Amino acid sequence: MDVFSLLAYGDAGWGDELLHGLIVTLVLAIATFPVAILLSFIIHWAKVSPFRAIRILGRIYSTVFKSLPEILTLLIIYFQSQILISVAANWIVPGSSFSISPFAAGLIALSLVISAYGSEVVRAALNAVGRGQLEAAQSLGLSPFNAFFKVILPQLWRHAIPGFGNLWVILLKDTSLVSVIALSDITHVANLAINTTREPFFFYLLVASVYILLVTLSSRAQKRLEQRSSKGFVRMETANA
Amino acid sequence: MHTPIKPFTAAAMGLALSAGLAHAEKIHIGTEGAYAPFNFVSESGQIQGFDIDIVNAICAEMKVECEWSTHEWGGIIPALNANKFDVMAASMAITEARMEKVNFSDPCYFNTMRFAGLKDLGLKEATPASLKGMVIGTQSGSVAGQVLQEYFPDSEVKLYPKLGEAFLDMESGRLDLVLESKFTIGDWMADGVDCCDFVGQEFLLDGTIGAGLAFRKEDIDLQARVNTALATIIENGTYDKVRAQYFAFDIMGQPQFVSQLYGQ
Amino acid sequence: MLDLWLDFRGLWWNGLATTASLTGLAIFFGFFLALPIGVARSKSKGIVGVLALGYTNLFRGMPLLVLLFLVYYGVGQFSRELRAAGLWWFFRDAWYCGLLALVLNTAAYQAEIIRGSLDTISTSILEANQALNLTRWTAFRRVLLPIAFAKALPAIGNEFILLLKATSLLAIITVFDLMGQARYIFSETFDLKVYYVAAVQYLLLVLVIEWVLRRMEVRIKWMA
Repeated sequence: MDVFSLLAYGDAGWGDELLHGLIVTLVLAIATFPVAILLSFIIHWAKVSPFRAIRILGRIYSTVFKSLPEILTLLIIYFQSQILISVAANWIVPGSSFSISPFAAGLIALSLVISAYGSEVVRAALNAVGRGQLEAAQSLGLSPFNAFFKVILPQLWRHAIPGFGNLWVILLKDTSLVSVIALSDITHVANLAINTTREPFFFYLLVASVYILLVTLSSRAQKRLEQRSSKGFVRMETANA
Repeated sequence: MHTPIKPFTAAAMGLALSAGLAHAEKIHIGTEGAYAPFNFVSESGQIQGFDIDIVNAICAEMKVECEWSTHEWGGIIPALNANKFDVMAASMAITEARMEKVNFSDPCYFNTMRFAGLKDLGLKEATPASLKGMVIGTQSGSVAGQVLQEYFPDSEVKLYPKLGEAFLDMESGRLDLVLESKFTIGDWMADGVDCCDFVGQEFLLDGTIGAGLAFRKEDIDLQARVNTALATIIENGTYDKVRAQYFAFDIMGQPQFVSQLYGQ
Repeated sequence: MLDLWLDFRGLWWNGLATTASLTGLAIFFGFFLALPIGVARSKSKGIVGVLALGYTNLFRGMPLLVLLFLVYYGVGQFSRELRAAGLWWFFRDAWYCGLLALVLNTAAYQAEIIRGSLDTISTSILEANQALNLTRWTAFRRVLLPIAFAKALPAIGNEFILLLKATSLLAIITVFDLMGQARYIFSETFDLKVYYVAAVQYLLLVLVIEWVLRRMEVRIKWMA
């Protein structure tokens, strides 16, 4: 049998469904990433907060989400946050009921996991920028807000790109876990296709190739970003080495 | 008309507000989508099957709009209770244990189970003694799993998240037998599978009163309306018309209980 | 919550034992597969180096879940050929298939760790080896590897924890590890607290591993 005919586009094959699944995978990863990065900064600040209670909370957060299997976090978020949100919705608009979709559950759960690791990328990158930069900026009369956004952040990216790039690849692959809560990502669509065609080897090999391609493209893009962001630094650093 | 899977409707993107609006009542139906011929996703990307056609007929009778979504079998009862959808149409057997968590409609049909075994084994009967030491697979969280644990303690039981995965392991020969609905096994065999044969007689788990639609405990009103509509489509012949598309025989007949077959 | 653990403690213990043994075996076999690949990544320029790079890119590029499905259901499609080759006893078993997928996956990550630590060993150590007149093989085995291992230990410890979490995916191919038991008990009780009980156990496992690793690191820190 010609397995490639299974990939026909349209009603006769799985081509369009798989493409749709790929889009779901990409949209989920792209929507999650900025949320995860923002959370990474917040968790980092919590961990270095002047308040002891917040520091402890930040540490618990990253220990918990670095220790739990992603799939367990996902299942807990999918079912549990529903109950919390329903209670909150009922309190704001009595009689209403919210439902959290697999997409939203995936986005929240993956953000929690990625940001637990991301907070360490932020810490390392801030260390690399150095405390002197902040002090210098403040002594020039910049507010802490301006000092961070105008002085620290532009320098931070250069040091954070490798770490965040790594996390992007982890995120991309972790999106496959949402197939377990029936979000129609590419892995889930492959499962459905196998259910009727019973060609597991072909479909899983195809899905694996798609992921490998995405990861390869991502690391290419990351290298170019690294090169661009370290323009003007490279020569100095090699001179020092 | 079948409802295509559209994971990117506005509702799927985030939080869907389903406050009780007065016009065009919409009911969200949840199914598994991996249980042919009752509910499955075809290569056209649409949810199809007996469950889907029957419930769409009920929706038409109730004059409501029905929107379908698929969910993992293992979490389908919690998903119903967590408001992911309002009515579950997943060929779920009505059992007492499940009735503690959800309410059921009147039975839509009787989903009887039967063993299918590798032809090479040449099994003549399926008794706890004859299946001793054999590897038997079924879907986890199913009534078949309960039967295997209760009556076949000397066989090795393997539980799969999806039924299709048990069938794959049957074809590869990792399993000796599978215990499942005779309809799903029949559908699988009709697809050109020649590894296996039915073994033994068909039966129901004790206390099961057929397969039905499920509702949240508090939705008594919805349950009553669906039951009325179900009775109407059975009476006016719509049910038989749908049934005839899938099965050439009556599926409302109640077979024997498992305890009559294997119990002492 | 404690009653949920006590009511099913036989199952939970089984799950813990399965998770722990799978993690331990996978990191162990993975290390020995990773060693030649990591060395090739660091030292070989030619075809061997390219092959090693191909291996790590391949297995770090696909999600473990997909690899698991591929090794279990995908390869299962060739049961006739595998039987003829006498390999079916291995691929028939979900536990072996799961272990294989874990080993293939972790070896790719461990190889990169090994490469990283070999690359950072300074040239002065290599020169010292030459000055002592050690053969290349002796120098590699007695000097470079122990130092590389000491350098790699924190990263391998990290990988240990990632792998522990990854074993949870084997539940999907019918292995009853901690996650598998949790899913089973959940299907019996429909009680969300089951997942919290599992979460606490994973958390405790990770904390214990971290504690052991920290003690090991303190001991061999002088080498790194």
